[in-house]
Amino acid sequence: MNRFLISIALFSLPLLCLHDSSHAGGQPATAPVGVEVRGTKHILHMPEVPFELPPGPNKDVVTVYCGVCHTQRYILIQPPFSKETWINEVTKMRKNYSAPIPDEKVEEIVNYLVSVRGTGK
Amino acid sequence: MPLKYFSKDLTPNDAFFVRWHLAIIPTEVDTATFRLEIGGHVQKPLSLSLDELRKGFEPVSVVAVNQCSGNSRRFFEPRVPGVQWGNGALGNARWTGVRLKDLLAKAGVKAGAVDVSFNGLDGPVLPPAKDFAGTPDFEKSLPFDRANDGEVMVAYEMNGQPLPMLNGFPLRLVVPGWFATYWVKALNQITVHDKPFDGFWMAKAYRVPPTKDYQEEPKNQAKETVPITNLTVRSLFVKPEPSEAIRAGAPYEVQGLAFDSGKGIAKVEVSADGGKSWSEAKLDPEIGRYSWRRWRYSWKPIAGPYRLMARATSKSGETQTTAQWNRSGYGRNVIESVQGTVS
Repeated sequence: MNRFLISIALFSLPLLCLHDSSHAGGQPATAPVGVEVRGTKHILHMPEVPFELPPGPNKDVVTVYCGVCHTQRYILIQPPFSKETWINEVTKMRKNYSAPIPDEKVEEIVNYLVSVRGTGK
Repeated sequence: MPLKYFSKDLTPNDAFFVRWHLAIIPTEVDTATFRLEIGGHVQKPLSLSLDELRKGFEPVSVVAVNQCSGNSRRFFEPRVPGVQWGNGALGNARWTGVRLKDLLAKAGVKAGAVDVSFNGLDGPVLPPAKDFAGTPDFEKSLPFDRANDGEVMVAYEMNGQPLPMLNGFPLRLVVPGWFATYWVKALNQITVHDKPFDGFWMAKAYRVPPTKDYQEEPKNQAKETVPITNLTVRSLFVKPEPSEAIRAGAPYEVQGLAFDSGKGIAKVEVSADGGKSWSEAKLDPEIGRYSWRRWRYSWKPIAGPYRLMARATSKSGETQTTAQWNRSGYGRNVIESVQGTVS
């Protein structure tokens, strides 16, 4: 059986949620990072990259409802936007991607977004 | 991707940018059981193994630029939401695989084919289910004439090696001259349609104003949009790097690259006086019309602040714009500049 590992240089981390929401404790990976070939199976081992949002109102609501589908880094890489822009983004998530956000949580989520990435307008 | 990789003809596989749309990407592929399915409006649906692809069809290669539609989005003003790329969502590689045209011929496309759609192994965390619209699976389409043009390829190699897993192993679509959104990774399903394909990622996402350079004004946005397609003609500086120390008097070789949608680069011009006058840079030999083309310019730096601008023109006369915006931050191709101080 042949096993070899190729270390991969991730110059641009794929923005995935695979580890953000469920491995807050930063569990060590069970296999070294890289591609492992086992017979005809090509297996990709990705690094555990725990991530936590900065403090803000309703941070936990955002972590739960947004972290279901994607990394929270998507929020932090944005420049400051107006409240209207953030409302549009949350609406886009619900309408186009079926983000399971109940009506009453929208304002809570928007309040967090403008607190960390708001222009104040 | 670090700037230094732009001073190579081909971008190394382990430096190539990575971008997926959905969180569930393939982390295990069994080359023995993987199949590429080709079906829909065809005489004979196919289910091809990787071995059958390699051995049953003529291999072809093309060197082609792969650029994300949203590359350089962070430079739009006013800013737009999305992945805030600098210039790094861009690479040049030699892609090897089979012509999509040859696969379609084998399946026998029936009369009346309109679109061909492409689906990969990636999928959403929340897929559609009973009474739940879900996140749309990532599926793109090409008009039939583009799909069948003999240049679109199902690639299994990148720069002479099997595709990296992060870049679409075992197969990806290669659509030379068009933005990377069409270059579906971990491609495993090709469907010929006899009516327009209206999946989300074509009908709602990746839409642009139907204007030159996909241009619109923030306060006067286009009422109608179309799917993004062609790369916009573009040149980028590679050297000098920002904050590189430059000495007055000694000639300095400015370097950069240029590319377009496949007409070919006719010239790259550089200006050192804010665009009042332009001189032609020297182009490296053309690798292929879909490859980027490196260029060099001999500059005599004088002490003090400097600002260099670069402008590419394609063989069809398309040239770069000075100002550009659209609501999604797509297709950026403004005249670039690099500035600093010569000591």
